[in-house]
Amino acid sequence: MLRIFRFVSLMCMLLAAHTFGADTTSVDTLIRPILTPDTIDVGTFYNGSRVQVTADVPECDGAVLVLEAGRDEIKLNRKGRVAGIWLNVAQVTVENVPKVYILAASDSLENICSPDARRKAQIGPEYLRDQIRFICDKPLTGTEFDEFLKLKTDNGTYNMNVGIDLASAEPGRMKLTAALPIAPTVPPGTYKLLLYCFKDGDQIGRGETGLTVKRVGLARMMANLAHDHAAEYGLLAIAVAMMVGIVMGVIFDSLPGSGH
Amino acid sequence: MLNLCIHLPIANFSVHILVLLGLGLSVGFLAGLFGVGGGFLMTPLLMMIGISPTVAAASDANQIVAATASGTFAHWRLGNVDFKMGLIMVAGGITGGTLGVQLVKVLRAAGEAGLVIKVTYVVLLAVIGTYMFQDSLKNLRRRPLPETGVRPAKKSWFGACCDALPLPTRFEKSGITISVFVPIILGAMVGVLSALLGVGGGFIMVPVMVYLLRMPMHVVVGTNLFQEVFTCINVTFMQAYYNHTVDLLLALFLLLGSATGAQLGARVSNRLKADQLKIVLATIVLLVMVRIIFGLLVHPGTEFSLLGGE
Repeated sequence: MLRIFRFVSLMCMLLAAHTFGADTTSVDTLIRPILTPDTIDVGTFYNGSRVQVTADVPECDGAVLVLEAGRDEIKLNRKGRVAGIWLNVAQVTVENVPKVYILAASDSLENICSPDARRKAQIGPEYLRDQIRFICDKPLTGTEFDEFLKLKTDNGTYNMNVGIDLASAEPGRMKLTAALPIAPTVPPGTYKLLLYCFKDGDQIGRGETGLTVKRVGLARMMANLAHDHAAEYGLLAIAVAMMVGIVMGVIFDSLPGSGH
Repeated sequence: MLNLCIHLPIANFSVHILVLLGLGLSVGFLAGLFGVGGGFLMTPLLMMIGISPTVAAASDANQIVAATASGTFAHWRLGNVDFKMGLIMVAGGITGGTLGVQLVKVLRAAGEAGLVIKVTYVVLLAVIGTYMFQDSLKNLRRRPLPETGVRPAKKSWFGACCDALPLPTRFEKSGITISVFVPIILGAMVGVLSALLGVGGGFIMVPVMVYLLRMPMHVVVGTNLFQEVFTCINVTFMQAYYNHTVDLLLALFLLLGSATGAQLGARVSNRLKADQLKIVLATIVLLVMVRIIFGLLVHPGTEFSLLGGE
């Protein structure tokens, strides 16, 4: 019995090694994308920004960049019609949601890579659709993913319409440039930028780098105070409001024509 | 080119400073003019520019503290605040608000809270707005009211009930003598409605003081602002402490506008006749009602909305 078990285990290991070996051999040239800047400081006057991506890539038919953040769980209200009135009818929990998902491509994904290559690289809306889970007490309608994508796109944290410029450089090499928009709503954190190159529908190169978004100055101080010293922050908010209100009252009271 | 956009750290959103100052100024002007906090206008406006619902509501409560404090100061200088009446109504309002929160929980558990709340809101706005509009129009057409706006004494069923209650108290500033239980009960009822509808309650409290307590319109405005200061202080602290949703920077720009607007509103308020004030407020209440009905009947664009922001 033990011998049979050992034999089966060995066969499984050989099969796994063969499968992963096949994948790693097709993934290919390692690329080093360069991000400028690689850190975004979110200060008081921050209003979104753009990061430039440049890379020296092997000659290819197309390239895809994905900027993605850690997974999260969010809760949403679903609206529905009740007696002709649009109301919140259910609460939907959405699991395994990337906080940010920005996809840039040199052409449409269908033209750049095969469905199989997209699945292996784990890119595009189909991949997101497979990954994200919707949980609701009431029956799901099937439109959840599209509605969710619309919400995140409107919010600026998802964007799948960014272009990439690919230009021929020295023989067998190409120069990749792209400008990724970082909306003001993108939360602070560490982001992973993945770069894929495809030829004849298959992946021929891959690279990865990181982007950091962090609060600085007054924005950082206030966010820290609000979360770490909530009671003091609440009292400060009230004191500031009262003070401004009364000071404005005194200023206006002293103006000519105040009637006093 | 000077960057006038500001990043709001709690809302995690960037917005032009002039947009915030303009919103504050407009809503503060209404606060000073009618003695309402303006929360029923400001929160939807903030959500419209992209701020998440909970941050909008919490920061709005914070800025209303400034607008109402500023408005109260202005009205106190003009002799328009009945502090005794205000404090009694605050006591009733806190009790009613606490009961109202429990009522909301029960309705939510029953599953039809959304429908009940929305329909109550629309009906209430329609009744208050229409009644105020008709009444003010009738008075404006008939004859000018005395400056105080006090109606001739006329015993109604409500007046008879009030007379039957114990502890009659004189409210000098309002010029009325009623049982101390009347403002407590009315304050509690408004507190329940405020909790149910999620609004400060000024637009309910003002008609209650005008039509049920028969207080002079200008004293109503000052007194309501005074009691709203306390309501909004309570909401601001609770939201900051439990939900971390007060964006002080957002509130600061709104309140700079609203405190100025409240002062201007208070001055205009004192120059207008009581019925003129009421007819403008009635029009605003009816417009808000139409906007809510529109929102209930038209497809929302996306079927999902964030539950309390992200």
